[in-house]
Amino acid sequence: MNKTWKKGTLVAGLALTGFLVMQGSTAMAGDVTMNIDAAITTSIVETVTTDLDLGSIDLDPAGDTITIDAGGVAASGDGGAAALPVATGASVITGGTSGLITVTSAAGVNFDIDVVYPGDGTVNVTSDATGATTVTLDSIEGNSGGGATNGTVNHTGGAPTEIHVGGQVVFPSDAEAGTYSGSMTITLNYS
Amino acid sequence: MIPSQRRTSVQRVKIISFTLLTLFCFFPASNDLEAGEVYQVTPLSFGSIDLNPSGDTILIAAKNGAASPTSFQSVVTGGNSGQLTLRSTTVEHVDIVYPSSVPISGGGDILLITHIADNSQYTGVGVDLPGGNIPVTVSVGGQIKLKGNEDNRTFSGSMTINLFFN
Repeated sequence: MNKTWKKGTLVAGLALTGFLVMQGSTAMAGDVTMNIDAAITTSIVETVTTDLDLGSIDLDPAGDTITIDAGGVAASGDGGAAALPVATGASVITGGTSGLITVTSAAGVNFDIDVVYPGDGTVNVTSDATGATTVTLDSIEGNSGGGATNGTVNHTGGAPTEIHVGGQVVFPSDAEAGTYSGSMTITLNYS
Repeated sequence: MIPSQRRTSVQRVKIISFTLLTLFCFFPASNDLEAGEVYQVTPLSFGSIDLNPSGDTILIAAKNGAASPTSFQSVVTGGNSGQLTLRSTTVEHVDIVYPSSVPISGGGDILLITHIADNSQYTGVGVDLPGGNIPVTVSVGGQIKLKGNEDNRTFSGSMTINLFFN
């Protein structure tokens, strides 16, 4: 009789235990927050290293066309010599130089440069003398590096790329003496 | 011989004692079992991006573990995949759900981090924790698409990752 009771008790205890364990099982869920950051920089630097200078012109009394042809100067960082102004007529020119734009970037940042020059007839150069004569700097793209005439300029990061700028001015026979000056906007598009 | 009535009382005391002992040993103090935990979080960083003026896509491909940012035509310095470190006292399985995209902001602009699940570990399959508080790491990546001529600035934000411990 005693043995029978003990077995019954043991079985009941185990069954109860199993039920409680099953009731205690749960799945847990939770969220975690992760921070994110990014920093955008650019190492590209564009510099007008040298202004376009047609020089000191002892003008032919009949007038003259002064041209700086910089289209053939290599667009690279090898320090290619600047182009000098040349007169069509009998004018005597001292000094002068093609303009120079320098583009640099960090090594590994390579891209193409599409240079957009002002259209013909849009750049005025005005004297500081009484009467303020204005002449026009023309044929810029045809006498400069890159652009539609000379194509896209390839840039390799880590070394400077030089873009030489030229153009042409027609001085009439009655052009007054004085210092002529002006400015133009050249756009560099990168791809 | 022991009289039958007396024997029955003794047996009843034993039954009650055994049952109470069982309840005490196996009835848990609370209804919840201990789950695993995230005990360390490392931020996701795309580093310092010297951006190509035509734009670029910056990728952290961490599907197979820790990774650094890569780009097609820019220079990236620094940066790292994010990391969760998980552990548990017992063997557990953890399902991880990443957000589809996350905005980060800087200087009034927004960048979108995308393809997070595609570039992070254990997407769709979860990860098994061996228990014994042995740490298991989970690497997190993603992608940023940048347009050309972005202004210099720093972007920051955060994302929520859902964890299901089973």
